[in-house]
This record gives sequence, C-alpha cells and structure tokens, in this order.
Amino acid sequence: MNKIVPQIKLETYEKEVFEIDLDIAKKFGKLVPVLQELLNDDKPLTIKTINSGTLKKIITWCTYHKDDPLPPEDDDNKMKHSTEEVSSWDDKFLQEDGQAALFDLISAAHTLDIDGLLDVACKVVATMIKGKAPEEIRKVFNIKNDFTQQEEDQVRKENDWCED
Amino acid sequence: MNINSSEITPENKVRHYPNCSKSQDVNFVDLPDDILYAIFAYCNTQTICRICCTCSRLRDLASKDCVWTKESQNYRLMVFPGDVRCKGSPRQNSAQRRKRRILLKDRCRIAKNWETKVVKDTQFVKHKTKLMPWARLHGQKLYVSNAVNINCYNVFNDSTVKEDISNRISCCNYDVTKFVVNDDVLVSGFRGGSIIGFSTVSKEKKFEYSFSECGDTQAVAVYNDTVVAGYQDGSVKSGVVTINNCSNIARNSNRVWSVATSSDGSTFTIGNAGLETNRTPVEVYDLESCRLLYNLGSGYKKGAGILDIKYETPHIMLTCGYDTSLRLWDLRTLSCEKEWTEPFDTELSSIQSDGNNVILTGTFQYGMTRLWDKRLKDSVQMYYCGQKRSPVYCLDTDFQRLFVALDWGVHMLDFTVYNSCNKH
Repeated sequence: MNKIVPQIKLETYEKEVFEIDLDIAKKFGKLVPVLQELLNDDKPLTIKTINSGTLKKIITWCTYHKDDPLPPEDDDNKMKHSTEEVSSWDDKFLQEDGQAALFDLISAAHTLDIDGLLDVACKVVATMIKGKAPEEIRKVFNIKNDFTQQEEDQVRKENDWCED
Repeated sequence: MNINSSEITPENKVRHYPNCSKSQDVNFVDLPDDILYAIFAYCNTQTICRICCTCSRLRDLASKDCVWTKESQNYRLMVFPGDVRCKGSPRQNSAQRRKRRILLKDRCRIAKNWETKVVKDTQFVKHKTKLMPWARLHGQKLYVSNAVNINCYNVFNDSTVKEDISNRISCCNYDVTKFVVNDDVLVSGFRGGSIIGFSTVSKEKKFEYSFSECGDTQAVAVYNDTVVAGYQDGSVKSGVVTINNCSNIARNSNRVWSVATSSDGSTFTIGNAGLETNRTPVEVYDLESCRLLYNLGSGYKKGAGILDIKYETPHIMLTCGYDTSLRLWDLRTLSCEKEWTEPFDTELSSIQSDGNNVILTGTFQYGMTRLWDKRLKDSVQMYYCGQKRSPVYCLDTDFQRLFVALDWGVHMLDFTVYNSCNKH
C-alpha cells in the first residue's frame, strides 16, 4: 500500500473508523505522544466518548485552520490572543448544528486537547451568555433551577453587586 | 492496538462528565468543570454573577477562586488578615486560617464596596459625655478605651459586634490615653504618667511604671519586652519589662504625640509637637541603645506635630499630623519618598495601611476618614461617620470593616454589606 500522506486511524462511538492525516492529527495534543505508535499500528484507536459527527467537524475545523500560526507562548501575547474576536467562519461553523453539537464539540476538543478549537468554542459559548439575565441563561441552556425560593433570594442578594 | 483507549477518555481527567457517551444529551451544566472554567474565563464579572444565580452547580463553580483571579487584579484593596502576617493579627494555625479565609469573589465585592462607598455605618459604643477614645483591633477582638476602662468587643464574621464583659480591663484611677496590644499583653498609657501592662488572658497587671512628674503618657509602643513611651513634657522613656528597669532616654521641650517601633526591633520613632527649631518632628532612635539616629525631613512649619506613625516594614514608615500631610519615609535613604495632602485642609490624626498600596487616614473634622492609593496623587474615597462634628481619634481595620473612634462613641463602617441600596 502506497500512502502518500501518513495517516492514523480513530474509531468513534459508532465504531466508524476515520483515517486522519498526520498533519491534522498533530493538532490533537492528547495524541502527540503516541502518534508514532499509531502510525505503525493498523488497528484504530477507539475513542468511545466522541461520535462520528463530532469527529467530522473536528477534522473540518482542523483542516480549515491547518496553516494558522501556533498560539503565542508568553502570557502577554496569550492575553491578547484570548481577547481576539471569533472569526465569522468559526462563529457560523460552530453554531450551525445547534447547542448540543457545540457542547459535544467542546467536550471532544477537551478530550483530545485541541487548544485552538477549545478556545474559540468557549468564546462562542461566552458570547451566548453575555448580557443575559439569569432566567434567560436558564432558558438558553435549559438549566434546571434547583434553588428553593429562600436560596434564590439569597443568591440574588449575594450577586447583585456586579450590576451597575 | 496496544494503547489503552481509556487513557484519553475524560473520566480519568475530569469529574462530572456524563456517564453516557452518547452525546445528544450533553447539557451546559453537564460539561466538565474544566470546560466550564474555560468558558467563564471569557465572561465578564457581571455575567459570572448572573451565572451564579442560575443553579447550585453553576453557583458553586463560578464562585471558586480560580474564576476570580483575573477580576481580583482590578482592585487595590485585596489584603486581608490571615493572608499574611497582617499588622496586629495574632498568629493563626492553618485550621483557623481556613475558617477565616474569605473567597476571592467576596474580596472583590468588599474591595469594590470600599471604592464605591457601599457601606453600613453602625455606632456600637455610645458615650454619655465627650471622650477621647482609643481603639485597637487584635484578631477578632476590638479593645476600646472608655475613660478609665478598656472594654473588649468580639467582632464576628457576620459583622456583629458584642461586648465581652469578662475581658474588660480596669484598674487605674486615671483615664486611658493610648494603648497597644501585642500578643497576650496590652500596654496602656494613662493621664498622670502611668504605663501599665495587662495580661489579656488574666486581665491582671504584669508591670507598672509611673512618671507623674512628666505629665500625661501621650503614646506607647512595644517590641517584645521593650516598652517605649512618650510624655506631655517631652520626655521619652524606654524600659525592658522583664528586668524591670525603665529609663529616661530623651528630653525635648515639646510634647511627644506618637511613638512606634519597627517590626524587627531595630528602631523606634518619636513624633513630637514640632516646636523646636533645631529638631524635626520625626526622630528615629536605635531601640537597643536608645541613641538618636536621624531627624527626618526639613522645612516643617512650626507646630507641624506628628500625630501618628506607622511602620510598614523595618525601613518604610508613614507619618501624619498637624500640617495636613501624609508622608512616606524610607529609612535607607532617609528621605520622604512620597507626600500627600489632605484636600480639606484638616489635621490628620491617624493612619492604617495594608502594607501594600492602600493607606487609610483619619482627620480631625466631621468624623471623616480617607482611602488613599500610594500610586495615586489624590485620595480614592472618603467616608463620614457619626452625626456630630467629631475628630477621629483613632481608626483600625481588618479591611472588611473600619472602626472609627469619635468623641461621642465608636463606629463601625461595614464594607461586607451586600445591599447596593446602602450607598451613602
């Protein structure tokens, strides 16, 4: 078999096997230490917690951002980096499949340790929360209010000071 | 495949990950802690507080210190007792420290309250006649002089203050002037020239000196077993209480207003009334030999007496007094590194500082106190307390509450309050 591009194999929750280019797989921080082993092995690595749809999205995202410069190392630039706006491509790409898919993607990015994707996805979620009242936040994320009336009054009182 | 796939499953790394690996049910609150923290890092303070209001899991997570680290850098007043060896606070073991530990989120709120003047004023001591009370906070006990007595109040975490009558100190026929509390000894000066050391545990006298020929004892300071006192007639006495000798070490013709010892016991400083032309009102002495080391500053106005002195470190010292100036001295360069002037042109009676950037001053008018930031030229905030026009005789603080001693009573300005309606 003549492979032009070296690839590794990953098996998803649905037992679907994906072949991923080494260049893309290098973005998966968690896999970096075992990449060589994976290249030599014909059996796929099973990642039970990631489904096929999510892995597809990850591959698409990593392919699109293949040539991005590496995130800066020093703290000052990291800070600058973290306040950068989310590009419209990322914004659309991350939100187009709905919230559940976005959370899947975040969990998967966390599992595989894909810094860039995790950052941008967290930023998108933060933007979804921004400016919303507690009830609206509950509604948007389908959060169950488990406070008693007394606790609710207390927590409101304790957190009122940030409202200007 | 010889790599165990469980190595990269999140269960090993984070808690709270849903057991189901099928993902359509992942809700926001079900995301692992680490991810929620990462999301919170992109939210502003207002948003974080609103997230706290949604459900108990998010409240618990969004209240953790790691979420508030960045926000806390926006405030100047972030030093609290128990963090470091804060002035006057007794040594604590780690369990006590943990019990008194304040969440970073609460510190941010309290710091914001200081800066935006969200505060509750309570008078917890009322005098029948005008007095000149002195007050010192020692851990969670506040000692307040009331004529011939020194009363003890317990300050609780919820900002209630209750008198602890069993710890009252009384046994002199003269009024208390000023006192200091050092570990388990309270050393007080009295009108009529006495200095008495009391055990704060047994309330019994440990030592007593009397210099009635010198007039009132104006100020006292203590370093370990050494007591330094300044007198109305300008004399300064120093004594080692364990070997029971007390000697005259200096004599000015002008009244001593204040005394302070450095935390390492190397020097002590006298603040005098500033009436002599050949001496400045700030004099630094060697504590062991009692030799005069330096006269600090020059060009003072006549009568620019020094009413309070506070060492921040063995080398950095703050002074304030009648010339309405607050000065920061460096004993290594012997120069006044910074100087601030009270904008209302009134005498500064007392100083406290957090040892970092914050200084608090009390003035001789309207029960007014001020918050300064060493990095800024102008004061950050001012606070009034009491209805009547009283001087601030003394102030002390645990940086959550400010205790202000006025002629008609003692007030507590409580900055731990939640209610934003309390703006005054």
